[in-house]
Amino acid sequence: MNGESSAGASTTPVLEVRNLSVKFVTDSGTVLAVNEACFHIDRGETVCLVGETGAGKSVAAFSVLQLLGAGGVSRRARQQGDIILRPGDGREYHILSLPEHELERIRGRLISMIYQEPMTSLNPVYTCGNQVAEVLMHHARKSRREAMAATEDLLKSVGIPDPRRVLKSYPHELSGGMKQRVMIAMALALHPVLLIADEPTTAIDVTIQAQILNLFKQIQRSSGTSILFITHDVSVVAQLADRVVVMYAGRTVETGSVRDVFCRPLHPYTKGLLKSIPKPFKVGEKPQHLIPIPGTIPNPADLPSGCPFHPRCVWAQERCRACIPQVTTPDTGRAVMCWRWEELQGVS
Amino acid sequence: MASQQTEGESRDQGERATPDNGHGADLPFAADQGGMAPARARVAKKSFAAKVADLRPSVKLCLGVVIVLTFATMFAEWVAPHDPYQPNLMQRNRPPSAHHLLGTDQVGRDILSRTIYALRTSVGIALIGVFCGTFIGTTLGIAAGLLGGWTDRIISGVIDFFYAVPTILIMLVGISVLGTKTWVLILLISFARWYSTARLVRGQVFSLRELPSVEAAIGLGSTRRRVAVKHILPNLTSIIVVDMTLKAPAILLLESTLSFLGLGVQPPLASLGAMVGAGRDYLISAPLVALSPALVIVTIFVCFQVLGDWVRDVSDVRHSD
Amino acid sequence: MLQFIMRRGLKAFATMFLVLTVVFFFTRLTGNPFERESMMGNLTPEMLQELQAYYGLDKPVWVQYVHYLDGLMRGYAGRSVHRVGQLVTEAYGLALMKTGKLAIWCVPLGLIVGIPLGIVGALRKDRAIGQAAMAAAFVGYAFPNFIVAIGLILIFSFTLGWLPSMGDATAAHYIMPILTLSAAQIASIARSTRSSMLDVLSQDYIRTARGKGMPRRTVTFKHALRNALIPVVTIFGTQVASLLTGSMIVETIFAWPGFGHLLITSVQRRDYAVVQFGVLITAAIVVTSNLLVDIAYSLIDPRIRSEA
Repeated sequence: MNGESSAGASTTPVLEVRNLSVKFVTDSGTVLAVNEACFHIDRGETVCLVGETGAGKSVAAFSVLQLLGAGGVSRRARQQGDIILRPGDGREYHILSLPEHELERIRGRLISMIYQEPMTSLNPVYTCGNQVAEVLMHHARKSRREAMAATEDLLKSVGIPDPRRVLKSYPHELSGGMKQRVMIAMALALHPVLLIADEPTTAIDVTIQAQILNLFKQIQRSSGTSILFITHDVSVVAQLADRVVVMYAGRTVETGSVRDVFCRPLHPYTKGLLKSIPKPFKVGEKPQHLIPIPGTIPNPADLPSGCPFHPRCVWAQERCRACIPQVTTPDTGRAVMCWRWEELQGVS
Repeated sequence: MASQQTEGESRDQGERATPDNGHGADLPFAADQGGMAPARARVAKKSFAAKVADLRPSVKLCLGVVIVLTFATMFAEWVAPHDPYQPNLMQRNRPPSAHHLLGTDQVGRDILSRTIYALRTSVGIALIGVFCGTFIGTTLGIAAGLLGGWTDRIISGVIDFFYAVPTILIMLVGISVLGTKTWVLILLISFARWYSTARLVRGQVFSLRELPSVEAAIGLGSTRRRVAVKHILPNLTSIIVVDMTLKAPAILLLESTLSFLGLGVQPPLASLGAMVGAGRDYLISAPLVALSPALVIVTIFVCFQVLGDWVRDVSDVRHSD
Repeated sequence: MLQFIMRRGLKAFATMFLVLTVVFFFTRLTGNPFERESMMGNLTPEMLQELQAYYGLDKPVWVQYVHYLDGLMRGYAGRSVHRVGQLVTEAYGLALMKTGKLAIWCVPLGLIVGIPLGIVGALRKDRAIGQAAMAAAFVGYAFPNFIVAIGLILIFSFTLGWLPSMGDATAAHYIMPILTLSAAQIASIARSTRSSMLDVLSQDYIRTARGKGMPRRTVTFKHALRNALIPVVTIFGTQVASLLTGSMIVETIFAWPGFGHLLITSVQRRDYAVVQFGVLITAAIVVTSNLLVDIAYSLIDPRIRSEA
């Protein structure tokens, strides 16, 4: 199976996001990017956060590290809810109420993040070795020599063939895939309990994507790091995830194990998503019809009333337009936000 | 990622973290419009007056000042209370009074009127400089860009030459050769800063040349001149306009400095710089002779700066689309 | 890298040569000062002959040109007409030293005041202190140097009587000229630093640095600043040119016997040999400083280094 799940881990998840709402106050109105999102990640688990572009996945992820803006939290962001980190030493961190210096001790050490654009995410005027070693020197107080030696090992462990050369190279001298590996090395340097990956394969060539994904599988196998993997690519979810969280218009509309959500989707949006994925067909077979979901995702500055999906939902009723559906949990770790989920079970 | 040296505002941090999203549909089932416009609440097209009211207060203030000054310049004859050239030795170096709002200078001329006329002279000369320089620069830039080869090499060499020697020095040499006369100044100023426009235009023409539309036009046999006018010029406008806003204060400064040193506009004609220079000897007895034009110069510069930044911000936004 | 320097060096040399030639012939366009004096009846024909011979002006222009070049290579640049017979090179040697005494203060002042102002302006851009920092820098931009000079004189010499307004005798004489010259520098460096900082601070790699847990101070000064200062280096190159031109006005106003003053007075007096050499030196300084800036730029930014 993908990664290890510790039994009974749902009692002390590594990360718990409760009713997280993030909105941005702009000149043209308030943009509600994340709306009462709820999910959790257990120890050693890989959770994929899925949704179309604009569903709020990245914002939710950045919120975990309080990086809603280049230098920290933008002054225009308003957050509500709770994000709890339990690294496993008995301590609990309520991220939304931590002061900056505490956050600085968590970032890079307990929670690390890698980003979508490797081309621009590394500092162009410092060598890669320098940037990775920096984490070790700062958090683990290693000397420069120790840090560089450790960095070399790290680079090797992420599959970089010539670590010594890369140590001394500048980011612009490396390919996108290599840069991404450097970032992964940087993120894993201190063995964080949680690794957040924001669509790390989106901006890379397809052939390299597969390599990076393999790297992730290797990380899952060898370390006990929990991974929050954000993607809009459902096939990646199938390869990596233990559990899935589906987001739409800032809300978490369905959660569950990969098997459950893929084989027995409960939310109309999830059903629609799964139907719109092209599936390979054998010669002679009729290719399956691709059925896209009609309409577009709503403007976060101007959300529809009630269930955010109702304008595009084939099964929408008056109730769906009028009231936001409650979240029901038919099973542990399984949740859905729809009025009609029960009657629509099995319907696609 | 724009790495221009604009002093534009920073991109708002919050908006950067806002997810890319499709834009709102007016109706739930509106057809997909594609694109990645930033999320904004639906905004009706604003009327012109509303857009003006939206501007930052500093921009509004400067626009107002510019309008007032332009008015004063164009209608100097009606705005100025006295004849600026009429000496009145009975009224030398008077402090401000009801009759002479800013007092009189060392030969009894009304300072306010003189300042207004000086403003007109300075602005007039500066405009000549800006437009002539831009014209020359654009023409040569296009020539270098389109014709290439030796034409380009020669023109580029000339541009490099002018870049190596500070403009004021060139002016000084010109003045030393041709004499300290007003027409000399005007002639020399018309060549001021042509090279900055030329270099910009040349660069832009080079990149425009690669445009499919231009290649097609040349391929279909348009004469070079036609290509230049129909295809290249329209694309150059925004660059040229920005360049002009950058040059204008520099040229004004050039004229002011030269006139201040006595090498520019000659009496009895007044320019802002000349007045400051003349007033230097009377700083104690009649400080307003120097201070009044100085204040106008500073005001103009401040307005240029604010408006220039604003123009650059506005054209930046369009480029980033 | 060496190729790059040599190529640019050659180009610089060619430019200077061109400058020299153009100025030389241009100043000879309207005849020489002695002919004019003679026409005004101030000189007898014999005096005219003598003077022209002494200054080498009686030969055809081409010959004069060749003689000049020849002289230059031997370090001789003619004699001043106004200060009769003084060697041009000597006059400029003295003048440059005097100007150097001013410039040597202005350059570091520009950096030491300008860069921090720019950083404050960027980091606190929405707060009062940030706006104040930029407003302070703005003064140097909005107020042309001659106005700053006069303003300073009005306040400190005439009203308060604290500082002398002419000459270069005492330390107190230095203060106002240096302030005037640096004002524009500080403004320019501050604005450039600020805009560059703002640009850099919105880059992804700054977010990465924060995401690694780097404290604010490290991120600003280690990660951001180095990137932000790269464009400022190029601004710095233009500062040299503006220092030179600024010195012309400032030295004239404060009667500081330096390079700019010499150049201006020689222009006013049509002292061509002096003018020529002054223009040549200016071009040389400007071109050299641009070259140095290009080299420095390629050293600082590793991306350019790989291309060079």
